[in-house]
Amino acid sequence: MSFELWMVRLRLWLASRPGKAHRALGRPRRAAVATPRVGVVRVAAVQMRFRFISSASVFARAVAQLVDQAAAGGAELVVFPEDVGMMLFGILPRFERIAATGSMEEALARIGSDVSVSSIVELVGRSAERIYLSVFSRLARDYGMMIQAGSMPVMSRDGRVYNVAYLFGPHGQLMGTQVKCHLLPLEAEWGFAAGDELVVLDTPIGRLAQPICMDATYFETFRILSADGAEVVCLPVADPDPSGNPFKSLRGLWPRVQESSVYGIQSCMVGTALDLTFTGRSGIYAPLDLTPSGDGVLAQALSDDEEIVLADLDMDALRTFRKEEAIRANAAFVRNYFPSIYRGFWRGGASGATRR
Amino acid sequence: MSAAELTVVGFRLPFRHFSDPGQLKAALLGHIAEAQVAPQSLVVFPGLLAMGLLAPDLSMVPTGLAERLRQGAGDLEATYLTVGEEIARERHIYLVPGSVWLPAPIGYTHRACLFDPDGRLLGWQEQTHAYLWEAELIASAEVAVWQVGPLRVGVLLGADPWVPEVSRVLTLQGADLLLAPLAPIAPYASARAMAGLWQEVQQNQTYGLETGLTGPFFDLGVDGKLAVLAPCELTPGETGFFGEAGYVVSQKARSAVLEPADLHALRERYPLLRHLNPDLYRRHWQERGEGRP
Repeated sequence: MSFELWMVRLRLWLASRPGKAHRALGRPRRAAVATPRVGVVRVAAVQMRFRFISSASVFARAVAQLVDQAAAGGAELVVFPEDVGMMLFGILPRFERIAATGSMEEALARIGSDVSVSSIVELVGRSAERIYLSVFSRLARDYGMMIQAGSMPVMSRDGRVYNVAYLFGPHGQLMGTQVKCHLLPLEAEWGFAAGDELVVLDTPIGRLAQPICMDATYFETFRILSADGAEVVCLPVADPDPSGNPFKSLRGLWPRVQESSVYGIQSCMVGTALDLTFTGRSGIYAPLDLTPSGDGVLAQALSDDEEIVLADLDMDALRTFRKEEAIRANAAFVRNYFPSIYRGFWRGGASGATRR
Repeated sequence: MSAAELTVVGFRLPFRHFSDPGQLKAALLGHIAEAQVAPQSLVVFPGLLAMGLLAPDLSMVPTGLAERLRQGAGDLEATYLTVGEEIARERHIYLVPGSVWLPAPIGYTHRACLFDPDGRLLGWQEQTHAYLWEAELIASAEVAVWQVGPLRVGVLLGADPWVPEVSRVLTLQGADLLLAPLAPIAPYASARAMAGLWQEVQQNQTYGLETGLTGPFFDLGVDGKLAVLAPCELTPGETGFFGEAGYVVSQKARSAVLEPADLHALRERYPLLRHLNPDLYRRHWQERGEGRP
């Protein structure tokens, strides 16, 4: 690493000291309002507008404002979108000017000839992560609520970049993380790596999981989580599909909730980042039979802008529903095909061109 | 139609009783003529349509169904095959003549067959996953894929479109087109339909055709729908439906020309299955002690 880059890193690290963000948050806030009934949990999906943020204090205030709205609505669990932490790439010196170039390729080229998204994560990641973790931890503690903090790209010790989701408990403690296991083709192009483990966490509201965006395109994710006991699945999303097509948005969490009988909380990033336009409507989903209108939707964002979506999850009703699954399992079918059906896809196996 | 494309035609029809096999054949041929089906097309009739050959006073309620089928089905299987074979050969079409419940030594099975334009039986597919209320249904543990013109085709029956493992297995075995000749018990809401074959088509990047039986079905009610489906990117308005968006509940027939080249180009452009995570799945199955490595 050049001396210049080392200095940039040092400056960023100093700027990411938790005290800066915490001072911006002021004194501790009130605790979350209690939910209306025993066995019922009020949850919030945050729909957030993407922007690059240049300081810890601005980031802290932006997140706190949304948490405050969710808390005012009585939420015990708040879920943020995918790539929330990526907003903090704005702490890179002169990033605003770089980002104004319009496209990702041009922006990277402006920084250096062989600069990739991964090298940006390497440069900014640790400092951005420090701000990100300290802000969400502090807000979870201040409000006495659980916060699923969306996700952010993180460079691991092995030098690989992963997209990681974080869950904070009501005492501000980090309850667990989840690495994204199914990459967006664009992330694969960026050199991101996929995780190989799905985690279900015991929490005060039930068994909770936090896969990320594309993980919900694959039913396998939810079959595994459901088999491991997940009841509530938080899904941070940043869908770079400029069309905002409502049919395409039905291909993610909503069907997975129907297949695997869990509650689903989808929090969408909206807005633009360089040449990427994020669309989607945050929503809170349930099995069809557990929604008053029978459409599997408990609540959904009404706009394409920042919004808090609230709904009550009846955990007792879900547990009863799951005991009465409508379709019988077929163990012989499973034995016949799983997991051998994926054999051509083992890593290091067949090439992409021959995988189908 | 060129050899590089396949016209598919599906029907949504009210259930009716047939006094003899000739009446069933005439009815199916009438629908084919009305829809102006061209030779070499693939035609799919609704599930359980041929059950109309059985005595109208037979009860179809699940309890005791296997025994009633054993006593009342007669030569249903042979008739179903004969009628299907004759129509396929006479009209030079690929044909799924709906499906049938057939008595088995224990319980009963739900089966559909596929004929080629020479009237040859390409194969049978049985339902692989049963609803809880189908207590006597013997579920198959195997699914098959057949070549139909330029596309490879798999068939889903009963609850199978709502079990994503089935469509995944068919797709990884090479299916480009998933057929679901259904007779869903009423009410069959649009939301439930969207959670079925439409989703499977999207998450596997295949074409799909759902056909449906409607109206009173012996002492039950069925409420089938109709749709020709594709990944959103391949349909007008990116809805995933050929024709207007949403499942058809007012029309009798729907057709579409399916182009394998479009599907393969999409799979190259947006290679969903290339990002499967089989190591993750393998560990899950191994830890649960299920499945076969």
